[in-house]
Amino acid sequence: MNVFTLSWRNMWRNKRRTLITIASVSSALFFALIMRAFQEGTYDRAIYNYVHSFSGHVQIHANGYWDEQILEHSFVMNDSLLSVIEAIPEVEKIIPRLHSFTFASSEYLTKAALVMGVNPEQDDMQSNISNNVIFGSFVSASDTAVLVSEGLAEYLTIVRRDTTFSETKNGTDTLISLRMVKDSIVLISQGMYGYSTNGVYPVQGIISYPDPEMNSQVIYMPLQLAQNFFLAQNRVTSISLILSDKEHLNRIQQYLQDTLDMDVYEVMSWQEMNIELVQQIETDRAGGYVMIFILYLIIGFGIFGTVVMMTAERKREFGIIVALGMRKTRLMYRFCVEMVYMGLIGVVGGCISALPVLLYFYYNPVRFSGELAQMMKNYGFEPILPVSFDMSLFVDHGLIVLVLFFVSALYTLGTIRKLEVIQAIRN
Amino acid sequence: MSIIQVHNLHKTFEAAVPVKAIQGIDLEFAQGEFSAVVGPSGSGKTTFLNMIGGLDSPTEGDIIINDTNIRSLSPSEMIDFRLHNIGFVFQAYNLIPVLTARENVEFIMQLQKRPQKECTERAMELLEAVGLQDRAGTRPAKLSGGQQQRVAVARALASKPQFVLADEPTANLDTASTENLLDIMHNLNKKEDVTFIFSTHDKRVIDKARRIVTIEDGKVLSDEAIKR
Repeated sequence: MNVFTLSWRNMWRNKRRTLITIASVSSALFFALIMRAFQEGTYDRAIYNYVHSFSGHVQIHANGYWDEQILEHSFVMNDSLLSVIEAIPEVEKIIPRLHSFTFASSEYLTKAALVMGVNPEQDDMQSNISNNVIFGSFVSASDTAVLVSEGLAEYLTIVRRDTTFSETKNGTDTLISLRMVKDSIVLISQGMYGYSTNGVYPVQGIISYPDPEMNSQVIYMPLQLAQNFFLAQNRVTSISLILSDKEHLNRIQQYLQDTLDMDVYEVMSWQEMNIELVQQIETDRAGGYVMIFILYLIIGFGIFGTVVMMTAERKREFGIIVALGMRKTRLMYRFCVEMVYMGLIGVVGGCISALPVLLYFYYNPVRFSGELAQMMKNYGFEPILPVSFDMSLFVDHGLIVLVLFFVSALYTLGTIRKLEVIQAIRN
Repeated sequence: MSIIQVHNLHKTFEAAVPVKAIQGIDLEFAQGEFSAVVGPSGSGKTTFLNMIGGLDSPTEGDIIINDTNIRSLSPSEMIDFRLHNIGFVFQAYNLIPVLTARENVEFIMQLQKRPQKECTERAMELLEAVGLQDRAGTRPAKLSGGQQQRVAVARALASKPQFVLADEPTANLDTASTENLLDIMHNLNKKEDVTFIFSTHDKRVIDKARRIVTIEDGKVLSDEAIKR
């Protein structure tokens, strides 16, 4: 009989105890996976929103722009720069932007706002931002109208109307409903080289940003319109790069820093541009780790208790087996196989039980409302509870459980190593 | 020809008052013997068997088995030596509960890395010799005490050892099972020419032995060969 069959049978020697141990491990893994998947999902969502609606994974600026975000630190997107970027196969999207601040007024109210000048079609292709238009319609590159973010529109009391009118086609009257924005917005700002600039722009739609900060201040404007408004023809303040996989980020950032003239440009990752988000995630993640640690500590003691009992019950048998001629190392190996079996069943059980729950919430994320939603917004997170479906979560936590089994098994391995055959047989 | 030679064997258990369990035993056992080491409880017979079985080490003296002084062996070498040279039958049977009767017998041969076919054939042959061929697929929990001890005897012989040490093998058995077990061991002793050394104070075992070594207070009191 090979060691695997023998270990398998040994494992089921006390069915109830084995099942309880496996169930406790599976439950721990289930809760750990659910908790971590929700946590990581929230972080991924926050990062995705930030990266796709604003920063990109990597951003190129004129040198000094990030410390002093003024239009004088904008730059012309020339062919040589583009050719360097386009030569990187992992760069999926290149999005030039012109960002600057302005005062936005509507009737009696004025508020500071961020103008995001961008090519709408290009932006929409990579972020599907047109789906975020909650009133009115999306803009195109040639439009002379703007979109206003939901929070800003509310502050400025921009008028929204649901209009219904009848149209006669082929002699038949049809009722048509339209959700329209019937308002304009006045922008007053400082353009390039200190020139003052202003303009009146029709509001074509209201756009909702998942990021609460952006949702309260953005005016979304076609790039050329923004360049005209800020008197910054052909200039951009940043080029956002969306990568095919975020894992490439550091390498590509380094490549660009090595390739481009760093006296002219600066290349920053989204983490460098949003340190607050990174810190919030790290702080929150640390809290999660503490919870997971406590969970695994409890389960670890449970496993250890089982191992101690198994060892005590079988000490005599260990003595007999060694007396008969099995080397202690082989006996240790056999016991380790038992532990691996038990751990693996626990891991598979935990993963299988967590899988349908995670799949459900992956496709149907929980959306918060009311005070809880506001609290999450205040913390800079979208009030939604998405789930991360990253296989590394399963692998990491599976390994943690196996390590717990292995660490617990060290007790038995130590017992076998120090086993006095005579004493064990007399046990 | 002697296969076991014991010279000036001493064993002292350290305690507040040291216990001298074996005090200078000199003995030899020849191939094919069917010997009983007898004596009252605490006389040192189990300690003596444990030492010649390499399970316990003497405080002083030598144990030479087939020209190998087992005191010179490392713990790992001792385990291998036991595997290939010594069979054990314990008072409490000590079969592996998760293995069937046949698998328990095969277990030792598998440790010796013998081919599976040979293991199975030899296991069945031995189970037949102890009258348990029809219980080969049964686990120990479903066997009676006598049947378990017969499986233990088959297991002890499976590795084709030089000798079998049986420590009070009949202590937990009823009269019928004891008679049956002793007949089986007697037959195997003749058939396989394996040396059997028992520690016992069971008269039924003593009556079958061809040599009786009496130990008392750790010393050999008498050593007599019996013609049967």
